[in-house]
Amino acid sequence: MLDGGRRAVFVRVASFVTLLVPISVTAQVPSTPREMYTAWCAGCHAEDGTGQVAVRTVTVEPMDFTDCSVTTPEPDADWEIVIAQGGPVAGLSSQMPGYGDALGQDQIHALIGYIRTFCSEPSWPLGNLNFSVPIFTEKAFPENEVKIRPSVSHNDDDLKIKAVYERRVGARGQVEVSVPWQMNVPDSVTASTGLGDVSLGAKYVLHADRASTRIFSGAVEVKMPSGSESRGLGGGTTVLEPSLLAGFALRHFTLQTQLKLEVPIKGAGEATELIYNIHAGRDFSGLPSAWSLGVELNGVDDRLALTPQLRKGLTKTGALAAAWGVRIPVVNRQHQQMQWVGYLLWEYRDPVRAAP
Amino acid sequence: MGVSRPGSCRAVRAAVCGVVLLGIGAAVSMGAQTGVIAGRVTTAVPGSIEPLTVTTNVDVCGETVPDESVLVDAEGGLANAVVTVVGLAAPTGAPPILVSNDGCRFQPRVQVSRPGEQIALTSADDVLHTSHAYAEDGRSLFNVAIPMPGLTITRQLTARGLIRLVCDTHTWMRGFVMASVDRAVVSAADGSFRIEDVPPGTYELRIWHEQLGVAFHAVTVATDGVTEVRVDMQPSGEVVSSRDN
Repeated sequence: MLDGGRRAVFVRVASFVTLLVPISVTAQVPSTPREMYTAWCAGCHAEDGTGQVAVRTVTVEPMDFTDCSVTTPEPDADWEIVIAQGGPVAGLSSQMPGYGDALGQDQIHALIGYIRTFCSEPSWPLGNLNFSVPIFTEKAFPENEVKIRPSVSHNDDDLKIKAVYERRVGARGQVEVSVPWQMNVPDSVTASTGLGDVSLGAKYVLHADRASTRIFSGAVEVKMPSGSESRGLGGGTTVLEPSLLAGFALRHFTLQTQLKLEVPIKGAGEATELIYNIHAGRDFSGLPSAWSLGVELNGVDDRLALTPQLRKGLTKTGALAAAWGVRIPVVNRQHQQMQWVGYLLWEYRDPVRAAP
Repeated sequence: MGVSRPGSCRAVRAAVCGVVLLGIGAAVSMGAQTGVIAGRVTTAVPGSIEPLTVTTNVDVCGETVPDESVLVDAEGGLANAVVTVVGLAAPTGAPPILVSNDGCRFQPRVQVSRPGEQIALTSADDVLHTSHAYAEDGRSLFNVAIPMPGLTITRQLTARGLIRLVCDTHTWMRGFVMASVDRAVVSAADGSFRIEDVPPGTYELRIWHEQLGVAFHAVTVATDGVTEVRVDMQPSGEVVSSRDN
């Protein structure tokens, strides 16, 4: 008779050897996306994608895939990594298991495609066009975000902090309000500090292809003269700022562009300015907490600057992110200053803390 | 040549020393005497009788599954108790333990392993199972989907102590792995257990059962002998009577 230890080892060896013997599987393996979803996802997420099942076996409330604001904003890469590795990799519940050992990438892609169909309104742009936010270039994809963007001049102590609140409206729209606070230090003795010119804006996605290679949006902002002109905190006039925004997926890289006019409504001598920003970047993984590297070309009329930058998701859920960069004048340098820039971003619809 | 001679001498001395040490080691090893701890875990607590009602996938799992939380034989032998010899190191490098999702139950229900070792998870059922492992402190260690029978997935046991396995799609399924750095065995269907190659000395046995808790029992192992142990467990984990022979 074998003792406990030896018997256990024998059983383990015997059991493991049986793993090497092909098992005759007579069951029919689901092959179509619908069959796969029904067999492997519907138990928790429900046949109709609502997450409402007759007998719930998990303690968390599954996502409602029929809610387009849930199903569309994240890129395929996020869905892939969660399906393959399980919920915790992106701060979601550990009750979402990983299927990566069981399913191939094609099967996972097919499942994502099927899950996206639960959103019955095709006008919602897919999250594959939801690129990482550059520091200056406005992104074309609408967001639910709060962004704090500080910039500090390198040569003097001028500081500007802009708080931007963005909220999606419907499938393609977004409204935003932007509140700047700034401290100007014209010399080493005097300084003026206070509210700058507050802006109200709106954005609308004009075109987003289903292949997720390009997105175009139009936006308009109205900058109001809330800052003191005499203290150098505001422009002293209302400014209309229409802009065109675009985003392109180029293999592993993204290209985002912004063309904006700043048109003063009244005020003699105020000239219209042309703002153009181009950002090229790359995310280093599909995780929401991934690092991103990018460089922006920032132009204001004949002044041109380059802004190399790094971005990092600060939480597993991606709800918090930060970016750092330096704006380096390259053309008309005498009329520009080098600036340290960045942002802290909060996607307030996503949970900051990872699920247990 | 003048340079190589001292080196050659050192090499010869090292070889001779090695042979001598090996000889001593072999002699010590051959002369080592160990004992055996053999025993039985019993309880007066009645075993689970009422089957568990299946709430999902009745077509695969059936209407009910047996409740295996307390398995007691006719003589009161308690199965699936983990007996650990505290302080006696468990061997390393064992093959992975295997847990099968079979009949919508984890089979075996209770096993022992070491922290850092591998666990292989498989399924014999034509239904989605998940194998979700939790550490003692409630941390989720891994959760793998096994959507089809015949698939085997391996994971590392990254925690020490009791690791609890659940299936998030079949809430009645329970499995346990005691990841112990100490030697441990699981009691058989009649409550018996046997631990061989135990160096002489006094040890503390730790007996764990998923429903009856934890009990401790001191045992002295003699050279070349079998130390018989009987442990009766109560629901609190208290040892109500024990006997060494």
